Amino acid sequence: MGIISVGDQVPDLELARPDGSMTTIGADVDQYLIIQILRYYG
Amino acid sequence: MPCLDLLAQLREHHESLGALGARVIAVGGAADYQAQHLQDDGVPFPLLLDPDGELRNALGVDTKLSKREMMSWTSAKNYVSVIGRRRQGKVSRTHAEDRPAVVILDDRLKMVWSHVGTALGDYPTIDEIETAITAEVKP
Repeated sequence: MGIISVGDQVPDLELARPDGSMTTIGADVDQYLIIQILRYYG
Repeated sequence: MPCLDLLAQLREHHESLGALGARVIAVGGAADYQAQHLQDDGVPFPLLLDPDGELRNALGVDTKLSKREMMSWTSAKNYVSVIGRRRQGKVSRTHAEDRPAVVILDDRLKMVWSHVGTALGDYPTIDEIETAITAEVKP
C-alpha cells in the first residue's frame, strides 16, 4: 500500500490504550489531530 | 532517541498546540507498560498502541528504514542531537525504531499534512508542525 496523500481520508481505526481499553482516532479530534507514529515508547 | 524527544516536545507545546485547535496522540506499536509509565508521568495526551500496525498500514508507512537510510548522515546526526535533551531528563530511554512519521488530520480525518521520515529520527520540528497547522487555520 502506498503512502496516503494529503486530502485522503484516514479510516477511523480502533486503537488500544495502555490499560487495554479501546478508543478510535476520531475520538480525539478537535479541529486538527496531530499523530506521532513511533514504534516503541521506551 | 528522537521519537521520545519529539514526544517530549509535543508535551512541552501541548497548550500552544491546543490553542491552535490541535489535539495530539501518539501511536506506538507495542510496549503498553512503557506507554502507561509515560502516561502516569503526566504526558497530557493519549499514548495509544497499534500492535498489528493497522494505522501504519493505512498510512502506508509500514516499511522499515533501509540499511542505507539507517546508516545515513542524517540518522547519525539525529541520534547524536538528542543526547543533550536526554541529559536534561527530557528523554527517558533509548530504543531502535521503525520509519518515523507525523501526520495531521482535520476533524473529518482527512490528512492535511504529513511528514514521513527517511532516516532515523527524521521527525519534523515543533515549529514545522505549528506552521503547518497555522497555514491550515482558516481566518
